[in-house]
Amino acid sequence: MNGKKTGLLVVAAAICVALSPAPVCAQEAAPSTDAPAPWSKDVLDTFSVIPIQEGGRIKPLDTYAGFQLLGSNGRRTCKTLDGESLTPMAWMLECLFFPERASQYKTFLIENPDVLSILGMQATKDRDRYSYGDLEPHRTTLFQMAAQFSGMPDKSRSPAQNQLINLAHNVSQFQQLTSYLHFARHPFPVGDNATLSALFGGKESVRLSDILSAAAALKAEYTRINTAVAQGSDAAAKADLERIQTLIKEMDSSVGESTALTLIPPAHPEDKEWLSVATLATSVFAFKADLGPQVEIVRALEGLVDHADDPAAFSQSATALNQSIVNLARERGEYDKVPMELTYYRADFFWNSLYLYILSFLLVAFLWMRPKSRVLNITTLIAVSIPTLLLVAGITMRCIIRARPPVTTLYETILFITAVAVVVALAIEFMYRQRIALSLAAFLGALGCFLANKYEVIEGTDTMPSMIAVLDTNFWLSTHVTTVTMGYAAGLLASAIAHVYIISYALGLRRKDPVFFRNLAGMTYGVLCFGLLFATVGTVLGGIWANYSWGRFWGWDPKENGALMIVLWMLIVLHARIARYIRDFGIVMGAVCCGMIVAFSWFGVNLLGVGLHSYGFTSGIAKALTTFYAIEVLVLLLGGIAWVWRPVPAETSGEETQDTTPRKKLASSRA
Amino acid sequence: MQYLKAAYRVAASYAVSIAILFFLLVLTLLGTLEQIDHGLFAAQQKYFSALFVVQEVFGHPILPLPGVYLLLILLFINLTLGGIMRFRPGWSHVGVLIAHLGILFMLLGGFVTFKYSTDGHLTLYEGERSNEFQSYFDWEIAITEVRTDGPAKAFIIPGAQFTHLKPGENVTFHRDDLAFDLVLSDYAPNAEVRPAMPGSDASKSVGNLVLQPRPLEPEGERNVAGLRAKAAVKNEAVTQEGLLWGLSSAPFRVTAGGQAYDLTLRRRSWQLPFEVVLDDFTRELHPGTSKPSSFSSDVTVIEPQATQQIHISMNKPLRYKGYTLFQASWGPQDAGPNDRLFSTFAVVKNPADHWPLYACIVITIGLLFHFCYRLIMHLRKEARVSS
Repeated sequence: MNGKKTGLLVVAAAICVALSPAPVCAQEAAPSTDAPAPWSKDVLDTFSVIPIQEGGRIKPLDTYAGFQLLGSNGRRTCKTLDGESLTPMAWMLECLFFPERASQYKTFLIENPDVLSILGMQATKDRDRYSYGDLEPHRTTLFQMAAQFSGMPDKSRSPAQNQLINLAHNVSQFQQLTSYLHFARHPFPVGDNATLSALFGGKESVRLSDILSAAAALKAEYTRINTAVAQGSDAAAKADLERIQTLIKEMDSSVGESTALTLIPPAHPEDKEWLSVATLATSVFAFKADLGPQVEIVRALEGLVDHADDPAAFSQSATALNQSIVNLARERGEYDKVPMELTYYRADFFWNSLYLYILSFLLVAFLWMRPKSRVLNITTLIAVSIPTLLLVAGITMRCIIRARPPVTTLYETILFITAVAVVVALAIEFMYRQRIALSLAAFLGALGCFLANKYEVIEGTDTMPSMIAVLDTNFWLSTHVTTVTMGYAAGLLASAIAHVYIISYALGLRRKDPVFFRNLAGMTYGVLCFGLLFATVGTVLGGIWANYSWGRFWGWDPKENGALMIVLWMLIVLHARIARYIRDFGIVMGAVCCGMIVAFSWFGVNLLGVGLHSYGFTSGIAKALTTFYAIEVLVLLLGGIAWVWRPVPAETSGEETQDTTPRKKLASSRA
Repeated sequence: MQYLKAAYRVAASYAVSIAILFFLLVLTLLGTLEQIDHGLFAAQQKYFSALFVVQEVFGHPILPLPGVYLLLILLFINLTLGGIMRFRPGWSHVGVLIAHLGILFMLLGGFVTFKYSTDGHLTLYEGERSNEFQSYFDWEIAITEVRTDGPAKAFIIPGAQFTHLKPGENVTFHRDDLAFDLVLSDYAPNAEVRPAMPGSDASKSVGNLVLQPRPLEPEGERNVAGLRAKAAVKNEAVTQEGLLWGLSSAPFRVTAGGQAYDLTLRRRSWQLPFEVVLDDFTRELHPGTSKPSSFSSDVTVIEPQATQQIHISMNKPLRYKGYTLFQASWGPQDAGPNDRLFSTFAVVKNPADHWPLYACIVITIGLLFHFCYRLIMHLRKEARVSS
């Protein structure tokens, strides 16, 4: 999460904590911790598809629950005390309806033992999960320290301090979630006050939904009595006035904790902001919102709390809640994409692609052992194609859900670059039929999906955020961003092919097969040309976007510079080849360097902490990038040492490579 | 002649192309890393707008390098000569030739922009109007007659005449129609004015004030320049000394020949050929968040002949009479719902405004043609082999 935002949230949370000295869920007279049966599939499905407004957009409650749990727990599951694994939706229902039980689940991942030291807790392991119950005694220290660290400049905070801020944010979110239904657990006593009794049909205690339904009458009555008291009315009127004031204060205090879920669509079509129970109640009494079917949502929530121990009745209330919210959202035209997003997350495209790419990579390994097996050839090709289709389908669904081009965030660059690299590799395989590009397609597919999934876990926030104002233009996002990202993909693919060349050459593999090496160099060259086209056009388009939107073509922003460096390096390599300063070996060594420059431009510049491309800032990738550079330097050294000690495979000159027919050469080589 | 030919061959060679591209790459990297500690403006001045760079290695200035400005000029020459030298008629070269022409055109556009474009900002509160925009970085000294009985004469000393001054250097501004000569010294690109401390060097203070240089800000527009000014009244042995500072609340007043003059150091400014009124500024947030979804300004453009209402938003600037007004920023950032807001427009006048787009189209056509031609040749050859 963005440091500044986290800081603000933590400060806000700290203020809330200061105002309510003890955690809400500990105060609750919550339903028993002996659970009914596990959440049924029907109930989970009913809740999952309920829309909620969060982060500026409407999304399924399941998406919200998924990122809440991921951000806090580092994974999308949570273990109960019995060791049962809960889905995000089940975990959220536990938090809402069984807060005491949820507070015993270990849902807070702490990866840095220094965080525990700051809190005065005993570390059992360097990286471990803790329950709210474990952290509760240290809650005050947690929020105080988080507020203190939030005031420090981003750059000067240590990893432990950053993690403590995130922990405070997660704990605060958990508290808000567990206390959301506080209003439904505690009816408001009417007592023996005749006026209130008459207003509420003789009930001794009322629910929030009753108060909201009677809000207009209550306000009218209040105004009448208030006027009478002002005119010197009797003591009974004063008592009535005080009783109404007390009731409203009690309600205010009770719903004040129901802010976490903005589930209630507003009554007016022009109002864009959805309401939580707290904002609904406040708005109704402040004359800011009309009360229509929204009260049914509150009533359904109360029904759910009442029937938490009765699965059948609970299921009915869940359906009522679902229908109330979905109908209102549909009327506003804000529900259409919610089921699709639920399908998108349930299909789990990118984890499934990862598994299938790994499987296909194993098949490729078998294919290298039995290269003439036609069945294995076709099977492997299909095995690589299926996850590629899944990857493309996942990206396409994201585009439809967001109504955006494929790349708008750093996370999406990983997905798109992986897809482009794999598709280009498959096209190369079609041309060369040497299994090299096929192997690389499987490897790069697996690596890309792994990185995307890892990135999502590290960030722990919605990967479909609403766009900042300056990026809100689909034309430039679909032209500049897409083309320049294709340039990145080509640079990385060329580098991957070059690795195969250098490692094979250095290890003396296929020493007597110069065509193998020539083809690898030819592939590298071709992909670099492809990359140059897209990187150049993409970079220039970026400049044109800047020129037409902000008045300057080139601002030497680090991200712009990174793209320029890729173009310059590709030009250097290709011109050096034309001038015959380098040949096949030079091309592949150059391609490895190109990969390093792409990595710098893609992720490296984000670590500098300067520049306009704030959508790309992230942390926690420095270690991975350093490891990548260390490996690449080793590969270059390996190539360099081999070049000194071993003759380079027979090389082609510039023009020869361009005009050589791979299949013919392959055929002649085999002959 | 022989030497000329050799020089031509060298200037047009691939070796020179590659060396230029390599230096460009290195300088781009160094300029990017420089931004971490010194900010964009300083990096731009040091690496990208300079003819030469002296690179520090472990804190010692020992590695002289060509600056990006010089490299781009050399690249232009190299590309032109290389194109002439290697030009061959035939389809196989057409695409490459077109792409290189596109690059030449883009470099030319960059040069025209660098030399002849003007950019600054215009900040208006809601209801305000103006036809003047100011530079983000450049300074000038304005000398204005203090007069109530008619139009006052004004003299402008452009920043180029004094911003190069180093400590101890000075420059004299002289005009025949001005009653005094102005000696400018101790220019500091970022400075503050403080009360002189007791016991401090008296030669550095003016009255009880001293100009204290400060380190440059990473954001260049936050630098506030300052300098010393000494007015030597003509034909009199009288001098008046004062400090000129970008944030001074009052001008430095000089009296010469019975006439008072106000001297101010201010951001360089230009006139627009029309007046702009900010009618309304709108900031929209994504619902339920504090994340802005759009900024826009409703303005009225006023000219003697006509007025027109225009809506300017992010990615949708106003282009009029050679000037472009972009929605750049707004404030006050902590404004409440009913507070009056201001809107800042980036104002640009660039004769080469659309050249990058034309260049991009040409480059794309060239590269596409070249790679498609290569692919077709390749496929034809394959077909011949199979048959």
